[in-house]
Amino acid sequence: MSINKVKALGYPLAAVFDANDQKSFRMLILWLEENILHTYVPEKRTELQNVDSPSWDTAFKNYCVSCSSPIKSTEAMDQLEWLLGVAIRLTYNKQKNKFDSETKKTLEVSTDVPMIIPSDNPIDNLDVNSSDFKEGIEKLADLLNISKHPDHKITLEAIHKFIIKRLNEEAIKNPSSILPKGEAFPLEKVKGHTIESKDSAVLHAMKVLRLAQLHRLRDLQTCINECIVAMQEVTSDPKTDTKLGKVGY
Amino acid sequence: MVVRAYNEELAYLEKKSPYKWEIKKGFQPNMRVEGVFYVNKFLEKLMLEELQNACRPGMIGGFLPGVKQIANVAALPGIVHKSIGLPDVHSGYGFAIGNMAAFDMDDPQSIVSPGGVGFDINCGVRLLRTNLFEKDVQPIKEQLAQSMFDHIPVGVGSKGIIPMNANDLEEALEMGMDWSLREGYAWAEDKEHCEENGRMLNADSSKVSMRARKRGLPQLGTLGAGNHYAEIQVVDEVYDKWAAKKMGIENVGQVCVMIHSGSRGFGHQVATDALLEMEKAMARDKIEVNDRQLACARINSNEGQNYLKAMSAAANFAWVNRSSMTFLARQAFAKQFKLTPDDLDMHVIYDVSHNIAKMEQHYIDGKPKHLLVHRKGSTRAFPPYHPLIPVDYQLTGQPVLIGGTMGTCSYVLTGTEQGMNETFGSTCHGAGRALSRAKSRRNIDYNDVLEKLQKQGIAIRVASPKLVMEEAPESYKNVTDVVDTCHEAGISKKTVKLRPIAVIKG
Repeated sequence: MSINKVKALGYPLAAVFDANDQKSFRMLILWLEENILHTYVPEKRTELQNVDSPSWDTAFKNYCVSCSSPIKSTEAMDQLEWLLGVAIRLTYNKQKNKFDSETKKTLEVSTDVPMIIPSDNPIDNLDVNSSDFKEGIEKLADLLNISKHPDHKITLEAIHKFIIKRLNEEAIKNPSSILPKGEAFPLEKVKGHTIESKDSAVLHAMKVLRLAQLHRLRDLQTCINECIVAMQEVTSDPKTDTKLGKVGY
Repeated sequence: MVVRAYNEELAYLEKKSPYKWEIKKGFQPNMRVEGVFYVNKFLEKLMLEELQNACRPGMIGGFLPGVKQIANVAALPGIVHKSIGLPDVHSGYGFAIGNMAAFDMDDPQSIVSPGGVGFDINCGVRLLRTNLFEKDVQPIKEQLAQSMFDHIPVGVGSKGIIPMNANDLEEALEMGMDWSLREGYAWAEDKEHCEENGRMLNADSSKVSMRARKRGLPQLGTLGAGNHYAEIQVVDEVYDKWAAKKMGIENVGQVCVMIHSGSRGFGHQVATDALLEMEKAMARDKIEVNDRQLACARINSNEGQNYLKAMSAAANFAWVNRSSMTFLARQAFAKQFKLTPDDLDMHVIYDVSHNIAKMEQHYIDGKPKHLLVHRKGSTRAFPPYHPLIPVDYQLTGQPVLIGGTMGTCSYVLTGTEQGMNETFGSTCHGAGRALSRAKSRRNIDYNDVLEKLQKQGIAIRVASPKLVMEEAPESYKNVTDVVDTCHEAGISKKTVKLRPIAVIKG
């Protein structure tokens, strides 16, 4: 509804405006014409001013044509929406500088202070730094056998990943589908390559990072293969014709 | 060629380590960089004997000895680092087979040479694994060999059984393995485990002559003749358990299928066409070379670019060819075992190219450089963590497939960091000839060869038995010597040894 636009334009009767009330609607149109749009010279406005007259609707139709409204709809509301838009544009253009600087100020303030929308969702109102919450995460991590990070939120992320991947419905139904097959590649066999460090802990960490990266690459490659297979469903039609074959001498 | 006595020639050769010799500048005229070759004491003898024979008065004609060819390549414009001879090096057209060299793409004088790629463009080896073991295959190996022979047309003048028209060929030349995937002859995982993902992106079929297309069209999906083969092999020895596991090789006795083939007449015609064009370009651009077989053109010249685009199209042809044969081999196995290829876990372990030129980035004196790397009879062997190798092999290094000769064993190696630094990440490609084809025909009887294979328990199907002696193990260097040298020199690492139980040959 256009009530916000009406308010923004400073219509004095905005508080009691009711678009469905015929008189209220007509009064708004008249106010728009007299104060902002100025499409007619004051003498021509008589018919619009006559808000109780039965011929007002016809006068409004003519008025819209005079405003060169592009709206084809016969709904008066649609016309109003458009007229409000024009009125806002005119008002804005008149005081462009003022509005621009105001907008800038508002934006600066709003980025500094995050907008807080009160929510009904209990999770949104959780105090993630409360000791209760931390304790809960630790318990969950123990339960799922996940090592803990000093930042409990990171531990939570790890738990999240684990649950999504290993404890989803499909995985529980068919655990062998997600368990890695074959023998694990021992970490000490992973070569360092360009990693230069004498600290065995650093080397170890680098190797783990490498393996994590390889894991992500593998997932990407699997996605690529799945795409190819999906495409093959459409295009593939392998044929052989043994009559064409010829063995050389 | 400079004529010197053998002793004088030796002054230019220096043994740097038990597995590495250096060829000093001056051995051949205008050498821009040193040459190097990797040999052990057996291969060393062969190399030097070849040189000694060439030094005898009155020895004219035939190819130059391999050492001389390596040195001549070192004299080509734009070459960087070294002209490198791998342990299986032997004389070839212009470049020795088993010679690799890289040219600086940023140097306007740098050249590309069809002789540095070879006539069989993107000849290469593909290895499929299965979940079968020797005991499953031994009892029916004759039937299996026959079934493979029936599916994969072999021999000179053979024709493929996958229907293709001229339009299909055109698309295949541009798309490489993506064509095979689209048409359903290949699996998505095949592409993942193929060098360059089975497609050279700069291929341009409009640079390929009509004649090459005509020769190529009926030959797609055929093995060809010469040293090409399809073999059913079993794992004989595992040297690196973890790397083997990454390749899906669990144990000794596991059955694999190796396909060694290339771009057939198509690649040969592309190379022939380019050589003719380049002779003119050499005269125009005043490029001087030591041997007229080293016809070449500047990389940035029209002739150079045309060749690279046509060569890439031929490379794509070869990948489609190997993919088609993979499809046929899978069918042959599926029929015999009445299981799907999926059930038999017939995945491609890897697919290597050993006759190709590629644009690669390497470090020279610590600085990254764009190079055009020619590998002729030489296999790319990138180390662990190289961005261009499949994710499955990031920890082990790129698998390198070394096809042995008929009846001898084959190897799987992996790339090493040292190889990256010394040989632009390259290693050997196979056994390498010891006797010329003509010499083999004179010295060996084909009946003896077939009988010997039979005694070894190897099922064999050959299209032209009378040419078998050209490919007899006696005509080649010992593949184990070649592979051991690469391993000892550190330019690649032994992972698995395979031995054939059935051979299909042209």
